[in-house]
Order: sequence, then structure tokens, then C-alpha cells
Amino acid sequence: MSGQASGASTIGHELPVLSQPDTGAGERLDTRGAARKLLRLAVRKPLGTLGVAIIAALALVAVTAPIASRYAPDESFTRRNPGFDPTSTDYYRTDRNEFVLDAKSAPSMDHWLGTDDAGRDIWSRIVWGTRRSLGIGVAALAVSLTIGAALGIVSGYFGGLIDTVMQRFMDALQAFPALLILILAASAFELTLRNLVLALGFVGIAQVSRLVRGKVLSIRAMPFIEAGRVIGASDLRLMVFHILPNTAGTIIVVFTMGLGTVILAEASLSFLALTPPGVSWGQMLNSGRNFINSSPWQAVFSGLAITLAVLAFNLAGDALRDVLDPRLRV
Amino acid sequence: MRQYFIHRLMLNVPVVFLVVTLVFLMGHARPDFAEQRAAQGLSSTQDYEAAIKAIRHELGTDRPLWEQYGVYLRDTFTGDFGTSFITHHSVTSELGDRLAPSVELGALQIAIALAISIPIGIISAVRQDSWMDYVLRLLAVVGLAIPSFFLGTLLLLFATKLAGWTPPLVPTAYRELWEDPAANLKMMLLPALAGGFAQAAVIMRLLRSELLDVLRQDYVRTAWSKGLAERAVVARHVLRNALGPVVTVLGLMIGILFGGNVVLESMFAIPGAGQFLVISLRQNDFPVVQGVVLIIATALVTTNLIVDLSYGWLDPRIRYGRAA
Amino acid sequence: MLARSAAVAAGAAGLALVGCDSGGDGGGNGGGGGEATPTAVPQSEAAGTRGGVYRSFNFDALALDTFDPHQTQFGPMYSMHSAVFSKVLQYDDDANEVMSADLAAGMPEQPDELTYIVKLRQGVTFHNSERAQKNFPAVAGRELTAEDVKYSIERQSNPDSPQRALYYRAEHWKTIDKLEVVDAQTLKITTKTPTAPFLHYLADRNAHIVAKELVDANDTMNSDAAMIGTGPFYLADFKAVEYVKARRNPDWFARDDSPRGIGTGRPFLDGYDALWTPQSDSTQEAALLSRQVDATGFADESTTRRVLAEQGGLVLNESGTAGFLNSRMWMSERSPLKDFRLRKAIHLAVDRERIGQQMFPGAPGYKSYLVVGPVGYPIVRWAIPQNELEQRPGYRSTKEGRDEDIAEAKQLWEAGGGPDSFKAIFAGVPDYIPNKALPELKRQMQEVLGLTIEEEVDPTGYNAMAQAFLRNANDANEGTIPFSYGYDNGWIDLDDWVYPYFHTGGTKNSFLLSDATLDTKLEAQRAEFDAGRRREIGYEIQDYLLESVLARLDYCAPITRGLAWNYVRNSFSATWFGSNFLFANMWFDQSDASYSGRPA
Repeated sequence: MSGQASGASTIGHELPVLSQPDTGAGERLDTRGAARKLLRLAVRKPLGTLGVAIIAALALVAVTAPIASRYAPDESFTRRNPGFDPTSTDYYRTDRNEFVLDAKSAPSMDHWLGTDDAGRDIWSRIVWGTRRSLGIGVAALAVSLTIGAALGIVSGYFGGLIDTVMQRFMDALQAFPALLILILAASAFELTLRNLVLALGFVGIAQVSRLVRGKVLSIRAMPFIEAGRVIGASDLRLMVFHILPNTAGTIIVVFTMGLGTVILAEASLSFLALTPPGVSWGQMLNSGRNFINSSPWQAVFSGLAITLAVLAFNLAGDALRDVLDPRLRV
Repeated sequence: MRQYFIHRLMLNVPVVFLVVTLVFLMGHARPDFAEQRAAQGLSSTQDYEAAIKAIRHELGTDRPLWEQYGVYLRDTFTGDFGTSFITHHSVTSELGDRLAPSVELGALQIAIALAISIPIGIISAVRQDSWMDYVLRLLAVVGLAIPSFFLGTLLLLFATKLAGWTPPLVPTAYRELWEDPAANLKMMLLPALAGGFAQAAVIMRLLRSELLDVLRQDYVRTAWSKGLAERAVVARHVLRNALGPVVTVLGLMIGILFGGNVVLESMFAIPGAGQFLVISLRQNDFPVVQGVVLIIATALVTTNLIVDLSYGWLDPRIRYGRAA
Repeated sequence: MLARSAAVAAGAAGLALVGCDSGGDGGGNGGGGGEATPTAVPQSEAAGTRGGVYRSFNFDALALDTFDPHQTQFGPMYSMHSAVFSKVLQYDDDANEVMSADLAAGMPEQPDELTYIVKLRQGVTFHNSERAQKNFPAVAGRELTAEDVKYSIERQSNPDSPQRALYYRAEHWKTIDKLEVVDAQTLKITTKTPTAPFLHYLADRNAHIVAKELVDANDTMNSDAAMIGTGPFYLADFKAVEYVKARRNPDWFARDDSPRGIGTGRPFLDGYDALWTPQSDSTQEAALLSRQVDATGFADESTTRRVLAEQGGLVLNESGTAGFLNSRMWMSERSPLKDFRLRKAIHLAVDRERIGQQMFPGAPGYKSYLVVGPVGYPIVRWAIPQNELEQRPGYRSTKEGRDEDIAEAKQLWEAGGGPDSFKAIFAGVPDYIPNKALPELKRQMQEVLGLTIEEEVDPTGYNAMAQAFLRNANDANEGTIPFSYGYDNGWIDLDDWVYPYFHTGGTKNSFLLSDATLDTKLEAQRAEFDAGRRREIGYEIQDYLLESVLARLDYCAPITRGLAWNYVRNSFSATWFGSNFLFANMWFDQSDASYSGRPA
């Protein structure tokens, strides 16, 4: 945004979006053009391409989890107990079980990434965790994008009092640190997947709406919107059919980058035991933390999974941003 | 300027009010501490309800909601955050000496983050798409994604096993910065590094894209064409203009740091507010939660105000007035 | 045990539990092993070199429900109370139910089965610390008399108190008919009926004697300022989730007792700092090795094992944990589990060993849990001997035994017309319950009985569970959740393990259990003064519970382990929270090689 618009931006603390829309002057998003751009991007942006490749691999793993996991995530494995002594009465020392859990074992052919402290296959849990993390991420972002984009478009399109009130509301929302909102929500509502998704989605609303609003402010000033008004198009029509498509670039970038953030947030929450039970990277990392000295596999691999996913979405997001909406600050 | 300041300040009043009310409602969305305390030992099934009643009476949560809200509002705006359900000390005194270590840790992390990220961000932007840029950006994103406690664990292992140095690791060893700077910094060093690295990644990425943007501006091209040295251009013209959004993010970081340092504080025995807050949340000790949230919210609103005003210094193109 | 919960507890989350796991910081929190025979003092050791402030990591600095010693149900709180307050009697060894006099001058005289003459020691005074003088000048330094003992007991059974529902130990005192103060040092107690566990009531973990002046108009003493007692340590500072600082009470009444010849001038330590656990094995290891703490327990048994092997000069303390994991089943007409055959099928189908191994991973040579029957295994005085218990159906771990149990479980489930599914509520903390026990139990039930458990996880810990019990107990038609899974506090005396749960009028009987045969046996053990015969009745009760009742399914309980430096003399590990009074017997042996390098 140029000088004038940045005056508006200083009221809130939203990050400025500059005014020349690079989705072109076209009224609709040019899909063929975007595809070409993406292709060019693959060549020009090796890091972004790497990110996309990792995302594709993660998505594949998530979709094929029942096959890719090799074992059920809750199946625990046993092995013969070397210290087996059925006659012993030294209960604290000897195991009177012929078989004990195959817990905390190192990577092997049977267990590619080793086993966790409950004798479960780490690879299998990482795979099912991928499904959960991506699923939660996509669902949560769908929530923040739907609500955030709607609010952002309305706010930016109408401006004036509506805009002021909405932006103050967003101020209030952003005044809470995200993790605090999530913790509050987790203690105030029942711990279900649905509530978790809603809470994670809710946290993202303010930022999405600000970014979209910034974009809308610049689109609103463009001739084709003015032209639409002149021929008598309704506000709703203008917002849905003319403004929304032009924010697509922004939304795609926000979505990609946001996924990394949501995955990290979900991991932090399960780290604090504030997520519903289930196979989760954060929970694996947390329980692995305690035996990191003796058997680092669980902590390292679950940490790597989180790192890899966040890395991939950030790399891809960076590259997409460069192409679709280079002025966007996420 | 003055008018803008007042206008901006006035806008914050409803924001704070909204936050205050939201916190109150959340605190009462799912009662309550009394039930939880009564359930502690699952003792006597018959007396559970009577027990809840007695505890509510003791805490004053048996009064009607609107009455509690009234008291809460009155107290809050007179600076009284109430009494912790659990420790029975005033929230102000409980938080009082816990905030300083938390704030200090956060500040150190930001300082470390800036020290790492500004040079790296500049190099990465100036040498855009070079291998150095890729490596640094990769590092940054990895830093962003690695949980800070993981880094903390590695740092501690490194310090004790390889460097042969053990920092103070018990909360009673903590000394205020002005009381005994050496003891204080010894304790803060590792968690500050661990947390600072992750924050550096955030700043570095942002700074890089800001810099790239500014580098394309006309006046920078003009500076180049005047034949100014690269260093002079970056330092004098580019950096200053790119810092605005970075300052914004620093403001937001206060909240992020607060949440993210819970584990680090606990690991390194920093007597901060994190662990206390988590326990209070789990136990629905809402006077404490309300107090913490309000303090953070106020801090954020104030920071944002300062940040907005600092734009004027950082980017002289911005003049305050009613928005377009 | 610190270790188990830390392993578990996500951040602080795991703490919100009912007596999470136990007391031990391994280096000394409680009853258990070592304290029965304290080491004698070498002559060479001059008095005055034994002091210092003992430091260890644990959960003591957590104030979770209330500071009131008569109302709290939260284990870590007991630790501080037990150092600060005194009781009439005390447990030297709770596993074997060995008691000795605390405030009493000797064991009470029992002229008949209903009468107890309690003679108190002379010159017992309340803490005269600066804090006490400031907050409660009337109590500071005041002499404790029989009136205080009378008050402390009556307070808990006062029907007019607004807090009456919160005295969870009121049940103990119901048997009292008369409390007469004969003189300042003598109290005569008359019970209504012969009550075999009465001495236990006087020595139990929460039987603390408090001063009336500490209690406010609302009948509470819910603040750290009111923690003024007559115990070996006074409370110097309490900072929630940071530390508890307790310091030597120089006027302690038992200072010159020298039990088993360990010396006079107790407590030897200048005090102790109970430091909030960092919940990170790497931190705990570094702090222990640099002697910033004198003792700690680890979440991971392999860390314990490795550190002990790598580092000389450390002592391993271990003990069983009295707190135990169990399921409660509901037995009303509407319950799908009212049929005994179905409850037994579940009892047989559960693989307790597997659940224990999952939740409490050990290390070679360090088993870290044991299966439990109706009385926890650490309480060897009353529990069915472990080797016998492990032969019982439902507890067997041999292949043949397991196969038999599974076959019988299937048959019973079929015969009883077991449902395809029912609802169950699981405690949300510590998080090994939702993360490990829940999926494992679900899997086992599905595999063996074809039963689908629809779980509800209680994020607050036990709140929703208590409400479900209440609904079940109060209105047999409203109860909807027939099965629960969670922790329970650990007890000492047989009576506490069985009577409140399984007697028709028991305060913890949420099962709607009413069994005349059982009631008779429960009453019989309560009236039986002969220890041997009482033990036999105790076995009968446990057999009956396992063979014909199965209202509560008991699974397993962790083993607490911790390391302490060798220079800490008489360090110990506890079966449950509340044995810090035994810190009075600990001291630092500065002549020990391991002492060098300990920071001041």
C-alpha cells in the first residue's frame, strides 16, 4: 500500500500489503497463468520445490497410512525376557514375565525407527501422526480461512465504522497470545478433536482477516470494482465474484504458511497434554523427552517429523508467496 | 500527532474492556475450581455436592454471575486482580516476583534473536538466491521448527558433558539481575540461547523479505547509482526502512515468548510465571489466569501503540492522521 | 513417584491428579525401606558437622487443593504437613504397620477394648519462628495440650461446621463416644464399639494436631501462614511451583530422643528445600551430579541405572507405591455390568502385566511396577503375598494361565450376554492413562471380548469421574457411565483399603455394592484386636472380593526409585507422600568422600 493506505495500517498492527495487485488487472484469477507461474517456480525456486515435494510425500503417507504404517499404531511388541526367572521373589529386580515389552529398542528391520517406551512401532506412530497433524491442520485452516477471509473482505470492502469495529475486535483477539487462547479453550471446553480444530482455527482468524483486508483495500480501489458498481452489481456480488477471486493468491499463501504454524501449535498443545488422546507427534516428543539420554529414537524422530513438516510448509509458502503475492508479509 | 495519539489510546479502551470480559466469560465457561478440588480424592460420593457448596462459599463463587462480574470489573480497574484460589495469596503478589524472570528471559531471547538474525537477514537478502542465502534460510526454517526445549536439552548436555560446566539448576539459586548479575546470567544463558534461536528464525525470515522489498525501491536504486558503497546503502537506507514490520513482530513476540517459555523455565529452574500459569489453568484457578491474561493483553496493547508510533521514526514517509 | 509422573506429565499437566504417583523423590520422602534401622552415628562424628540444607526435586511445592491438613486429599501437600505438624502416634514403617509415639509419651494405655488413655509429652511447644510470631503470635511458642488434640479430632467431626463435607477423614472419628481431657497432658478417649484400627487413626498420614487459633471463622486454615505446628521443621517459605523451604525447629520436643542411638540434637539438618521438579531427566541428572540437589528420582529407569553405574558415591532408594490404578464398575439394575459374570470376564480379560509394562517402562533389573490386589502390594502387612496373587486368575502371566483366563473370560462374557459396547470414563492425568492405558485396554477388550469401549477422557483429571460416580450413587436411574479408569490414593491400614469402598454404607462405595456376607467380614476385621486373626479376616475379605464381588478392578502400582548421595545418611524412599517427619533422622556425613564438592 502506498503512503495513504499505510496510514490506515498504522492503526492496527497488521502488516502492510502494497497496492499494486500482481494477480494482474484481470477480473478473474488466470488459472493457466498461475499454472505457468508454478511451473516456472519449480525451476527457479529449488527450496520451494523441495518443500512441495516433502508435502506431497507427507500427504501420500497420510492418505496411505493404513498400508504405509506396517503395524497398528497401538500395537505393542514383546520380546523374550533375558532376565526371566519365574521362581524369584525379588520382585523389584527380576521380571517374572517370560515375555516383556520390546520397548525403547533401536531401529531395526522390524521397526524401522525403533520402538517407543510402550513397545509400539515408532514408524507406525509417525505415519498415523502425519495423518492426524495434516488433518487437524487442514481442518483448522479451513475454519480460519473461511471466517477470516469473510471478515476481511467485509471489513475491507465496506470500510468506515464496520471496518473500525471489526478491526478493534481483531485487536482484542490478537491481544491474546495464541497459545494462551488454546490453553484457555482446552481447559474451558471438552477435549475433543472437533473442539481442538475449532480452537486452532479461531486463533488464526485475526491474522487471516487482516491480511485479506489489506489485500481487499488495494483491490477495492481498482477500476473494475468501480465499473462493477456503475453497472449496478450488488455489494454481495462484488465481494463474492470479484474481490474474493482476487484474494486467492493471498489465501493460498496464508494457507500454506499457516499449516506449518498450526502443526507446530498442535504439537505444543499435545506437548502440554491439552489435546484429545490419539497418536500425535507432540505427545510422542513429550514422552520421548524423558529418555532422550538412553534411547533418543522417539524424541528425535518425532521432533524430526514436526521439523520436516513445518519446514516443508514454510519453504513452499515462501516460494508461493514470491510468485503469487510477493508483497505479503506472513 | 497528539490527536492521533489520543485517538489511538481511546480505541484501546474497548479493546481492553473486551479482553477483560472475554477472560471472565472463559473463566466461567466451565466451572469450576470447587468441583475439581472436591473431586481430588474421589473420597466420599455422598458428600461431593456438599463439598462443592462449601468450597464455593469459601471462594465466593456461589454468588450470582453478574454480581461476580461486577466485583471483578471493579477490582480489575482498581488494579486488584483478586486472590488465588489455591495459594490464597493475592494474584498481584504471586505474579509480582514471577514476572521479572519471565520478562528478562524473553528480553534476552529477543536480544539474542536480533543479534543472530539481523546480520544473517542482511546477508541473505543482499545475496539473494545465492547458496549462502539458501543455507541461511534453511537454517532459519529449521530453527523455527525445532522445539526450543529440544535445543535446550542439547545445550545442557553439551555444557555438562563436553564443556564441563553446569549452570545453576535449582530455583533457590535464582538471583535478580540487579542483585547478582553474574549468578542471574549464568542461569539465564542456556534457556536464552535455546529460545533466542527459534525467535531469530522468525525475525530473520521477516527481515529478509522486508529488505528485498526495500532494495527494489527507487530511492535505493538511486543510492546505488550514486555509487555509494553497498554497506552504506544497506545501513543508511535499507535497514532502517525494513525494520518497521520487524518491530511489529517483536511486539507480538511478547505473547509468544510467554507461552513458549513454559517448558524452558521449568527445565532450567527459572522461577518465572509460566509453570504457575499452566498449573493455574489446569486447576481453573481463574483469578490467576485472569490476572496473567490481563497483564499480557495490556502489555501487548501498549507495545502495539509504541510500535505504531515508532513507525514515524523508522519510516518518515508515514504521517499520522486519519486513515485514508 | 516423581519419576513416573514426570515421565508422564506433560508439563505441569500431570499434576492435577489425585495423588499422582507417590511421594518419593527417591532421596527421601517417606516411609518404606531404609528408615526402620537408621544408621548409627560413628563416634568420631562431632555434633555440629551434620547440618546443612537437604535439597531434592519433587512435587511438594504444588498447592493444589487446600493447605488445611484435615481437608487436603492431595499427596504432595502431605509431605510438608508431615514435617511441620505432629500426630499423637506415627508410623515408623507403614508397610509393616509399625507405630511409635509422636506427641504421646508412649503408646496409649488400653484398659479395655473401648478406652484409650493418651498421655502427652511434657514441654511440647508450637513453632516459635519469626513467621509464626508475625502471623499467629498467640500460637508461636505456646504449649500444646490435650485440649489441642481434642480440638483437632472434634473439628473433623463437627456436624455444625460449614466445612463438614470437606473433612475426608471424619469417618475415622465416628467411632468416638467421648473425648475427655483429664489434665493438660492426658486425654481419655472412649469409642462406641471396639475399633481395631483406632491406633492407626491416630498415626495415619493426616492425623495432624493443630492449634485452634490457626482456624478462621469459616472453619478453614487454608493458607501457608497457618502452617504452624509442633513438628521437627517449621515452614520458612512456600512458593507455589518453585519450592518449599522448611527449617530446623530448635525447640522440637523429640530433639534429644536419639532413636536407635543415632544421636541427640535432632533434626540434624538445618532444614530442607523441596524444589519443584524440572520434569527433565537431563536437568535432574546435571543437578544431582553437581550436587546442587542431594537426591532425585528420574522419569526413566535407564537413567537411574546408568547414572548409578557411571557415578560412584550414590545410593539407590526404592520402595513400592501405595497409590494404585484401578477401574470402578457400577452395579445398579440399569448397569450393563450388574451381572457378576460380566465383571469377572473383564477382570480375566485384562492383561495387567501388559498395561503395567506400558505405563511404567522399566530397565533390565529394574522392574518398575507390580500388579495389585485389593490391598496395595507395598503394604505387606495386609496384602495377599505377591507370589500368591500372581497365581490367581486375572493376574497370571504364564502363557498357559493367560490362555485359560482368556478362554474363561470369553465363555463368561457369552454366558452373561455381554453388551457390544459401553461407555467408560478415563482420568486425563497423568497422561499415560489416555496415551497408553486407554488404547491398550480398548485393544484388549476388543480382542478378547469383542467389546468396544467408548471412551470419555476427563481433562481435569477426576472431576467428571467424580460427577459420574455421584450420578450413579445418588440416582440409580441416572447413571450412564458404568466403568471408570484412574488412580486412587494409597492407604496403610486394612480398614482404609476395604471398608470405605466395599461396605454397604462405605463413603467410597460408588459401586452400589451391598453384600451382607462382605459387610459382616468388614465389620469383623474392624472389631478384631488380635493382629493375626485380623490379618486372616483381611485375606478372607480379599479372596471374597476377587472371587465373588469384583466391583473394583485393581491393576498395578509403580515402584518408586531415586538416587541420593552417599553422604546423606538415612535417606529413604516412601510408599506414599507424608513421611517427611523422618527427615529428622537424616544428616550429612561430611567425612564421606562423596561430600567433597557439594556447593554451600
